[in-house]
Amino acid sequence: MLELKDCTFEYPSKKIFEGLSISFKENAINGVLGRNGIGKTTLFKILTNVLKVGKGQIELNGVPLNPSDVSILQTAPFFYPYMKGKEYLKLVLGTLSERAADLAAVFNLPLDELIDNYSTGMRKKIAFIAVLCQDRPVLILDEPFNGVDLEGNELMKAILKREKEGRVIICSSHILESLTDSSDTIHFIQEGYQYELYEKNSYESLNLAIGKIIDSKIESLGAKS
Amino acid sequence: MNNIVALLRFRLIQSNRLLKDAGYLMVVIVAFLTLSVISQGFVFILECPPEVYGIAAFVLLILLHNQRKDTVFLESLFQHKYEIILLYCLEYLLVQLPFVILFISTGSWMKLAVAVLSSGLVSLSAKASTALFSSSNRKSGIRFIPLSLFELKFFLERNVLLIFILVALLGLTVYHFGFFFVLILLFSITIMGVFVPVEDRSMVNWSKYFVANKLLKYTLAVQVLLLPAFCLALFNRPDLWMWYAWAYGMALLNLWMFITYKYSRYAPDRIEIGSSNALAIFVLFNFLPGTFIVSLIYTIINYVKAERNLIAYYART
Repeated sequence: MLELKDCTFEYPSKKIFEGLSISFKENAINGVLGRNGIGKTTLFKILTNVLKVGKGQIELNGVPLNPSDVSILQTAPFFYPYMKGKEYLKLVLGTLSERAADLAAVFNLPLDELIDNYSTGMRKKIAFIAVLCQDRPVLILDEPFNGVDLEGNELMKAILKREKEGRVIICSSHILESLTDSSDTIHFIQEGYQYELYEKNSYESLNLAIGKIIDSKIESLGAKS
Repeated sequence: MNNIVALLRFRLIQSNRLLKDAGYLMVVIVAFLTLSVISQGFVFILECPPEVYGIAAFVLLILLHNQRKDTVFLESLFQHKYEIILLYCLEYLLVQLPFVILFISTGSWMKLAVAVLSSGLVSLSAKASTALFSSSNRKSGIRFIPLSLFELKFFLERNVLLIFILVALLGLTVYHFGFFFVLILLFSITIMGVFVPVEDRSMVNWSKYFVANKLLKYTLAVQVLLLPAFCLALFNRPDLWMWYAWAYGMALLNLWMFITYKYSRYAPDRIEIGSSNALAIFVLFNFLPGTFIVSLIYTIINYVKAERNLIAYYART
């Protein structure tokens, strides 16, 4: 289990959270849902040690989290210009493993071509293969389904479900259906980093909660006009 | 360690592909021009005190480091912190390679040590500076720059640390005139980034002599930085006034070139996509005595084109 205990983080101009305690299960896909700018990517940057919490502890199975235990698929993955797909996988994985090559074949990725010529979805797919094959105990996926075609989306979900054993997988998305399809639990983050945890059997109430928020916003809009 | 070797090897392959893509003949021309520019700088660098070279190298490398987009990727790639530091250090030494060779060949061991030290310091402070930049990158409002200079205002709001570095360089000009040239170089690099984004044409609030007014506004605005620097350098070493005047003029020409280039792309029916490679060559021309005439002519042509384009567009609407 990955746990943040009583953590506080703020940018110079904005407090993101204070005294946050949140946990993500092992052997499960943990969905993270929340509006734009609520701090999902900030949380991921903290887990990957790019940003540091002001106060609190982050532990994986009771011991402080080592940044090298975490793989992250960023919203817009980084690629060096003039780099071929094969070279990228070799660089990230140390060697082009059979598993990575098989996954690339499943996703129809031309590994001998320059990544500069890949579409947005293809870039997401190759970065997804790379982080998946790093085989680290914590896998963070920041909006992995954006820009990926329907077939690719379904493949990604199926692969994630197969690969979740022995790992903590954290996945954010703004596409509710993708998240409810793939996740075992969903953390619905709201203002002030207050969150509600929804298990698979209570996704209907998550839908209702989101519906209520939207209704109240539309109502306030109507009241103003 | 294997990752470091793999990355450096890839950098070589990448450079070769880039050169091939640009065309080898073009590369030879650009290399010749670059060497012409650098050769003048070599003499200056050999003569300046080691601390001036060290501070200038540190400032420019820190800025270069914070323009990197691969820091998060590298953090996730390496298992150990020292590997990233070593990689940065090697890369920043490679960036200084022409100077490193110069220092070795002339036996300037002190400056060689300073070059290694500046690479090491930037690499060691990389983490802190990334955190500082990533927090300052969260757009903060700068009130002292009016909205009419929105290109500069928005650029600096995203790069607040750059203001402090420019002001620090201005202050250091009191200590050594060499910082004036570093400031001019940094100013020119900054300007390259300021005028790159092109706003939608509906946002161009056109009036008669729109581009000329823009040139005048920016020329006056940048005096806040350039003029005190010029005066301080003059106070430091008055005998070098011609060199200062040349650098000052070239910085302004660079500014005008980027403004006119930006608006020359507003063709009546679409916004043209320009080639940044061609512009980079003109920047090099800009700093060569004699060939700056080419940049000046290019700027004048772009100015005429820009005013004509905007008149044509607004005559239609």
